Amino acid sequence: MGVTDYRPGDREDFDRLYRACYPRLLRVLYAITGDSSAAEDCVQEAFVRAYAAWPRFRPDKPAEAWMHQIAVNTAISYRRRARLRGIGEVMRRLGRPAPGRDPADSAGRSELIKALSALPPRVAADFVLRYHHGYSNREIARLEGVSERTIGARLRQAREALAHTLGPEWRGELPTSPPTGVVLPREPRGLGDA
Amino acid sequence: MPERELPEHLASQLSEELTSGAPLRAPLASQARYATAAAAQSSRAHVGARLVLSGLAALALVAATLLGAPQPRQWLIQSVGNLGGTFSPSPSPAHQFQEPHPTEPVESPASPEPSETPETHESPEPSQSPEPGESPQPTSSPESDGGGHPTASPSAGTSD
Repeated sequence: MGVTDYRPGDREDFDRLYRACYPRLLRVLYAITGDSSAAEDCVQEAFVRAYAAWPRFRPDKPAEAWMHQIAVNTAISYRRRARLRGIGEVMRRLGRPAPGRDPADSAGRSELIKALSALPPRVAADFVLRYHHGYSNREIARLEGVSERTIGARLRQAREALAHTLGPEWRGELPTSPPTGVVLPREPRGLGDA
Repeated sequence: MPERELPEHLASQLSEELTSGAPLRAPLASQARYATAAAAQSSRAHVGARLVLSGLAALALVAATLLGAPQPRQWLIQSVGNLGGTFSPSPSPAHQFQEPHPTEPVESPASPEPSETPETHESPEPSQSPEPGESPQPTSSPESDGGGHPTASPSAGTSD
């Protein structure tokens, strides 16, 4: 994650920032919201907010980190509003028979995406940055302005929650263990095994 | 404490689901919402400036009409009046219509006082006899009254 110089208020630089950040933010916000349309909407909304504040951007920290904060905050606001809407729906349906599950809700969402969107937003974001985009804990810490210890704790929390929901293998393995794809030479078995 | 790593197949599954579930719909900056919003904002600014200019021009026209020389307006009024006279030879409704004169007594809807006597033309008393020259009554027949008025029976003069 290299630091790129951006000139605040410059339109071409903001376009460059958009091209650099859009794919990563879309996947992070998809993990937070669990809905691709909502993720797209939040990313676009975040860029609209950032573009309005772009002339006042102070380059004392990377523009990618600034953009990441705006996007995650937008997704957090979206989740809060969605939760309030859900509570309102429950209140309206009190005393009525519960409707069936919305097929559109479960059609395009896998169990993994559901489990990710059930995590706290920043925990889900860190999990995607670490295991999908390949950032190190230090890079994520710098991106979010927190300590590496905090990032480690969040990743551990995410793995435990996913292991509880999807299976124990999501707890991960220590890096000292050999990669799964490597085939180790089998020890020669004794004749008695044959 | 070293960070745990996901097994390869789980990392691949994560990448696959994130990539297929959220495809890049607007990877170009020109497709972004902020770009279209900025364009719409600039077009709105153009429309606003045009509206302001139109308003100023309308104000200038109104001011020139109200504050300008009255001669052209009089000529216009006379021309319209002449045209009206050409197409309607009868007196114009403006001339036919007369406003009530302010000095005319206005009939009050209030009931007349009881001391007033009703006028004769409104309710003639049955005891009153009409004067002979004023109103010959066609009800008087010449048979019963031989010296009746000659105008009451026009057929008497023609029979001779």
